[in-house]
Amino acid sequence: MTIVMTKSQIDRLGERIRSGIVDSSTRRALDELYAAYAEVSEDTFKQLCQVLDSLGPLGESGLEPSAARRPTKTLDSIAAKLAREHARLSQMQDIIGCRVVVENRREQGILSGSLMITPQAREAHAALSRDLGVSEKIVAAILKRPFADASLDDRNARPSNGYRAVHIIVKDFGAPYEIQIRTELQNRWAQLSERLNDIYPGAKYGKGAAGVQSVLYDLSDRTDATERDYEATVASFEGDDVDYRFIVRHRARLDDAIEALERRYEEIEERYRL
Amino acid sequence: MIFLIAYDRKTQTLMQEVEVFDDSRRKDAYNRRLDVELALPAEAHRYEVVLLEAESREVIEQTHARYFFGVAELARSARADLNKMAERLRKQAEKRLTR
Repeated sequence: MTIVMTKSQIDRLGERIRSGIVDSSTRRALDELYAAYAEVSEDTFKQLCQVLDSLGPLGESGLEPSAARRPTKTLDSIAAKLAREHARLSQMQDIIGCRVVVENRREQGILSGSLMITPQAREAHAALSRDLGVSEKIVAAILKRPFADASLDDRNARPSNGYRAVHIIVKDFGAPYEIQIRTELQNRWAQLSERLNDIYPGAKYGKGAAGVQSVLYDLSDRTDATERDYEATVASFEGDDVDYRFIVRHRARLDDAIEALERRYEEIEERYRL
Repeated sequence: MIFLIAYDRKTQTLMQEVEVFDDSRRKDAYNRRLDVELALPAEAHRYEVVLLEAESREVIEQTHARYFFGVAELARSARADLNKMAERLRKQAEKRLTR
């Protein structure tokens, strides 16, 4: 890996962006940063694609997850984030990254667990190490994951302004690299939120048009509840003691929730149809 | 494949056709992105010039749908996803009932 910019150079660039100097020299300097990070970006994405290939289709649809790499972040997004979070540019974890869209929460868990040792897996490792009488290091070596220096940012548990997903921050290759793993519905919501933010600037961050925010929060909460209910319901069908009435009742209840969410989206479709 | 997208937030439109580079022309794609960005008027919060790499255009139309589709179309796609979810639920229930 060839990082051609030092941390202090990167932070000086960040200060220029933060103070609103967005002239061509700033843009060129930012482009040099992308070039410096290019190898990290390519290597990490390659590793991710290898994992996706080895997993194959994860769900019943038979479709493989969709993955797109983003080797650059727009200057506006960087400026907004620097202003919002008072962070330094060298500490920003998502200058380079990629997005993977999977079918549902179950697949989200499988994929994140295949890329790194998640906190849940770490607990399991500790238990396994106790049971086998070997060190946790040995257990981790046996159950190797491609990204050893990675942390999980569980936005399902801690959503921000309605945004939910699982993010993995990989630091194995030097510069931090953000892998966003979203379910189909989480991605639809995020895309809708971004597009509405273009129409009503600030809506994405809970500012601007109040009506838009409440619609987005409502959709996000309903999506979350429906997705969790879907996983729990499907898992409950596997129980030995479930009978016909149980299945019919649970399916009907979840069908109602799906329909209610669909109606919300239908209202939006009607409102914004050209 | 690498896709170069130039998007105008104010009008919510693509400013030009999506440019496509094969993987061997990565450097060209980076240079072209900067050229397109520098040619735009310096208006804060308005333009986005981004590179995305994926197997096909269909993939980025899903992962980064907001560049390609309006609010109504995005809402319609979400409804289609919900229909698929309901269908998967129906199949799971049927599978369990016939077990």
